[in-house]
Amino acid sequence: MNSMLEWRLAARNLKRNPRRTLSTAVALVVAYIGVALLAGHVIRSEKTLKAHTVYVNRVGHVSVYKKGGIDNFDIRPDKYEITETELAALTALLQARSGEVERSGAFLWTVGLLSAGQRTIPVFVEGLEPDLDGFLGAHPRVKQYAEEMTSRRSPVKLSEVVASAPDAISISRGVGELIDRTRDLRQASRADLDVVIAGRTIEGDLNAVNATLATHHTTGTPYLEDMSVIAPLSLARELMATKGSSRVSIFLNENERSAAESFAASLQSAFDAENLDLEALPFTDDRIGLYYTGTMRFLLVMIGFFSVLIFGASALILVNSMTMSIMERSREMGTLRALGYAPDRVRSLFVKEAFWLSLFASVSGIALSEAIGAAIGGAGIYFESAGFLYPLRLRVLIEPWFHATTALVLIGIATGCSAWIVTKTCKERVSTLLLESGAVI
Amino acid sequence: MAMNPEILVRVHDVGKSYRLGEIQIQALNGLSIDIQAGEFTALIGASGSGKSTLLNLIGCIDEPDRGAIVIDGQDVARLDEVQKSELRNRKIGFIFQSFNLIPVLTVEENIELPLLIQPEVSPVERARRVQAALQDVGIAEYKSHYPDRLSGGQRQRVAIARALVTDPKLILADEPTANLDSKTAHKIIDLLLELNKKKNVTFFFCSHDEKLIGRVGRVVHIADGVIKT
Amino acid sequence: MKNAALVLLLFFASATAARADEAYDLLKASDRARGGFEDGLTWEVRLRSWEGGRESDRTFSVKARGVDAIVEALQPAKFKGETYLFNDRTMWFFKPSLRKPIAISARQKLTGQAANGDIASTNYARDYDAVVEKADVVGGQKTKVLLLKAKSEQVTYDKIRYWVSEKTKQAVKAEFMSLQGKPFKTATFEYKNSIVIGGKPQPFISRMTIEDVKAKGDRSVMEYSKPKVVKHPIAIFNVNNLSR
Repeated sequence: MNSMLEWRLAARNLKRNPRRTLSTAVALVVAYIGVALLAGHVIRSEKTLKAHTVYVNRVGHVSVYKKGGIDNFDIRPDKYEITETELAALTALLQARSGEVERSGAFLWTVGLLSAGQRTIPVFVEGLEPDLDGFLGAHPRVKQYAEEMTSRRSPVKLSEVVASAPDAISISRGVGELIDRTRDLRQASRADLDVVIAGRTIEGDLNAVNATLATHHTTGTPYLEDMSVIAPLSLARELMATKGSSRVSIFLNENERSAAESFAASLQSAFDAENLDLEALPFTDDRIGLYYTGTMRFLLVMIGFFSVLIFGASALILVNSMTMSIMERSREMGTLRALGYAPDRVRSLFVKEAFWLSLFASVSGIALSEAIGAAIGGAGIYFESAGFLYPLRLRVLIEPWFHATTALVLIGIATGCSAWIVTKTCKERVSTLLLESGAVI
Repeated sequence: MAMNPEILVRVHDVGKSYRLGEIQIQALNGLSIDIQAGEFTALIGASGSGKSTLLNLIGCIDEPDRGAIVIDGQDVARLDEVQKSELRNRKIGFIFQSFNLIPVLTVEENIELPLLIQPEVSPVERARRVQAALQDVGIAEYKSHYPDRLSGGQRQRVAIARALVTDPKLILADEPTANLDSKTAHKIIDLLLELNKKKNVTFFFCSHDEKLIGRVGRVVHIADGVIKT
Repeated sequence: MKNAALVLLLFFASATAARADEAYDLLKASDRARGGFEDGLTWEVRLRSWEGGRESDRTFSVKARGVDAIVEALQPAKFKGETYLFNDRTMWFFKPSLRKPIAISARQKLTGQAANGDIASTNYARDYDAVVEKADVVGGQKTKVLLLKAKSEQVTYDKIRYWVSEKTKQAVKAEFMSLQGKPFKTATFEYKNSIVIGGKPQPFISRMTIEDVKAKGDRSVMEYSKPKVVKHPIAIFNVNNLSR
């Protein structure tokens, strides 16, 4: 049984060579800060990417398609639409899971032409329930983690306008520039607001509908910024002459990654049980959230690589420091052995020293990394990121679980290294140890 | 091996050699000796005679190449490292020439060290024994001092208290007065003699100081790795 | 030496010009049998398509005059009222529920294998630069194979390989190609209709069959009926009149 004296002994031993102890501690603290800030950036980026994928891109935590629809809806919409019957069955299944589901919504999209005045441009028309658009734009997760997108939204919400104008649509700013409708649409004349959208029906025939420009939006990414039109679902259905949908997005109450995957799996089981020709895919599936998954894979590999480097360097510094300490205290170890301390017991004393050192480094690392993270967040630094239209603010978010994990890893590495280093010496003959120099009076 | 119950340590035909670079040195060469319980024995010999080697073998901090060592009825050759540690902790106390105190522990913490690994000893009992040991060696007033604040004699008293605190049957001292002036050395030997009488602890110490011979109960001479007298 | 080179140059230039002239003449002649008349014409087209297991059947009425044409959907009833207007190379789509017409592209698919630009009269002589590539025999007929390159991006196809009968001056076969020269559709033509122009009977297209090169089985058949000469008023080809 360890006693408090052994812990006190271990703590006091660190004061024997204050310079060496301090330099080792500083190295460990710097290592902690490095890993914590890197991870903090990755964690924050993950939240932004997730909010962007789930809410701004509207795919939801789980997307439901007709089986094969994710790849083939654009080619054969008639074959791969979610029918009205299937949508009703899905709605019933979601109602049974209402505790987990925050919201769900049907989407229907097509590529078409938008004609405004003398100009006709190709557009991507996405039909959704207007109040869903409002819900997503105002979602706390979006405000918290994707504010760069929401801050550029027009104050006019489609959900508010569509009540009086069922054919009201929102155009992206790029579309607005192409058709010369960039000013506040509330000030525009009737003639400037009237547009026509042409597209294909579900069966592939040419069709067109009237629409009214109501507001602007931003997709947040460069890929669709000059093509995006958001329309009420009813208008998209009128254009495509269908009552079906391309996709249903499901937004969960808990939007943790594991919740999305398990929900999708359970929903898929329900589909299979009811012979519904649908598939449920979490946003972490490459086919749904490739930008999220691809970027996260890259970031995780990067942080894994750098963490290994940083912790590896820390381990080397610690090993060097402990080796020197052991060399200096061999006679002390021999004395303890002579007093009856078994090799394991002697080793535990050194492990306790490493524990104190790494604990101190972890606590300091936590405090300093939080302070530096706060300073970075407050500095208002923006950076361009591939795939985003607007610069993102550099922020660091180090969550408590990460601090706990990193501290445990650091302590584990420190105690493990010290146990490894001291084991061989502990097992030497006591008489040999007693012949060595140093550390005892 | 059958033992006279009064024989605490029996060393029989023990040999030990060391390699120093290219040279093989035979430190002990078929040495045999018995130590009775309660004896106060000095092992006298010149430098390189094998005194420290014999002490190390009896203290189980080294292993003989051949021969047998039985301590309190236990053949130490049959013991593994953990059992030897246990034996050292409970039955043997060590006093070193260079004191070997832990500099970051106070006097009473140094004395307490061997008791920490006896789980059956409660903290209260530990404190009591430490106090008793401090009293026995006469340094109770220095209990909160660190070793670097003590004189050589005081440090050796701390080392003696540490060796005594576990109530061992045998105390081994390797040149305990070598680093002390003669006046202090005599005081230390007086202390050891007193403790021997008072506690009936067996003392076996080695020295090359012939002036101490007249003060001990038994003197054993060692030369060339064997007992001469 | 210089004179010889000049003579040779002039010879090849004139030969090339002569071949281009021949191609243009053949093209102009073939356009007449496919509705490319300065005077007004009208006819009906039944367009049946088979694509990816789906079948569609639509009927249109076509009124053409020179470079203008107006196509109105007749059948099925759900498409009634839909109108396609061609003003030279500009194309519009309109239906009664729309506030205004929308400009579309002649290249876009109408239905099946037929593009919007296939449904009306053809004016290949106006829309394409043509050269005679080679001679060929198709269905026992000697033909000249013309290589047509689009003069603008607004025309229906980038490149066409066009077999025109030397005897009848009618197109018998076509290969529609991408800009890189890769064929993606083929067509064959029949001319069993006849219209009277200036007192003389003129053959008129009766059938055009278009097939996808890669997806064998995907095809569209346009059957032309009731062709006649009608002098249409210019006003019906005015886009501003569509929404009135």
